[in-house]
Amino acid sequence: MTDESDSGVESRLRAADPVPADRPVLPDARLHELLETVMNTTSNSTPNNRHRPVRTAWLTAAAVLVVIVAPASVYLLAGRGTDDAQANTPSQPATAQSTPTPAKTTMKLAPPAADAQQSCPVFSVDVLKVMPTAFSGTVAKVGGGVVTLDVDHWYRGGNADQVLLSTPDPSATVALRGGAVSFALGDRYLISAAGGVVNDCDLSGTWSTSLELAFKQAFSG
Amino acid sequence: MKDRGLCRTLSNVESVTLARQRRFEAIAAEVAEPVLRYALRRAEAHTADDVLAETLLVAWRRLEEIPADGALPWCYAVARNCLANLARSARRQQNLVERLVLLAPPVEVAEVADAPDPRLHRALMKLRDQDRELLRLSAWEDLTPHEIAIVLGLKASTVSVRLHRARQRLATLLKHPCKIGSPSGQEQVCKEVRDDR
Repeated sequence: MTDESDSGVESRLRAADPVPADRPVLPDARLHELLETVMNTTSNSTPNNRHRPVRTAWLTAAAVLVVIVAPASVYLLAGRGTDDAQANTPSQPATAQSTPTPAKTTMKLAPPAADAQQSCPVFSVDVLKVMPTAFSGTVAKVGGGVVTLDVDHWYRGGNADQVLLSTPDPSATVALRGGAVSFALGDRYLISAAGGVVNDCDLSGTWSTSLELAFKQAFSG
Repeated sequence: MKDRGLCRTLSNVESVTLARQRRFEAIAAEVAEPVLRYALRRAEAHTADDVLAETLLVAWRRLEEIPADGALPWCYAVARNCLANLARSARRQQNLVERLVLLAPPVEVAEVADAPDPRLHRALMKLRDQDRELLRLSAWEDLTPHEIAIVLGLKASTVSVRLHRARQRLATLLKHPCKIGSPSGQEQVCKEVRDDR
């Protein structure tokens, strides 16, 4: 069988395309409806709810989020996969297809601003679940204004082996959970972040069963 | 001080969520119609719509895993899995119905009659699933062997070889149109093609 007969079969197949590429199949209105529905679908619900009013759902969700977070000092920066994350890009590409390298991969995060915990909102899984970066890890090294965490589980937004968290002072004390948390060698932490900055206000903290449960609920999708 | 912090917080929340939303919308704008077309070529309209919705949901949840230069093949792979899941579910239901009412499984007569090239369609349906999918991804989705490899989880070189062989098998079937449609002849041709592998 020759390449010529290959191309003949290919041509005949192309001509028999039941849904030719020049025939529009998805009206803009349907696409917009789908996008809004998908972006507002919780992890346990189905996306294709054609009869649910969704036109304003995203705006409503955003407004609710703002109200919840408004009094907080949750400082958010880039997580992996977000457009603004490029400036804080971890050393490993954030794709599942990235080629593994023998060296440990790292992601850099910054602490919350010093005045971040003036007042915190009531903790909510709904706030946590929109965070683009979340993991649990154990402090492997402290020094030089950097806390190195060995990541044992990525909930979202990364696949690096380690996270390097810069600290404002040599004591590795970072304001988390509404108060100063000192990162201690060997201790385990649950960290969420956005925009390359760790969240405080209970959205990150020393590992605990209750906080782990919240992380599991928030990032189970 | 609080006001300044509040404004900064609101601004950051908006920028992060909007950045993620924008990336998703950009990817969706690129892939939604091709994915729906992909599903419509393989399933009925209502099923295809479900496949598109499910694919977009997976893309939204796993946005960070989507390669920047290969969103469409990645989404085709998701859509393919969705279709497979739906097909398994349909088969289970069909098996149940058959056991209950002792009906023979329906033949694809209507589908053949509606096809633009019924003879080609009949020949396609006699191929193995994987051969058929290779040919369709190449001709209808217009994917390169590298992109097909992403969809099917194979090596590009493997795809090239299998694609060539699938075209050969299809050409062989097309060369015996008189036997296609004759129950005895159809079985004979299909057996020859299977034995050829």
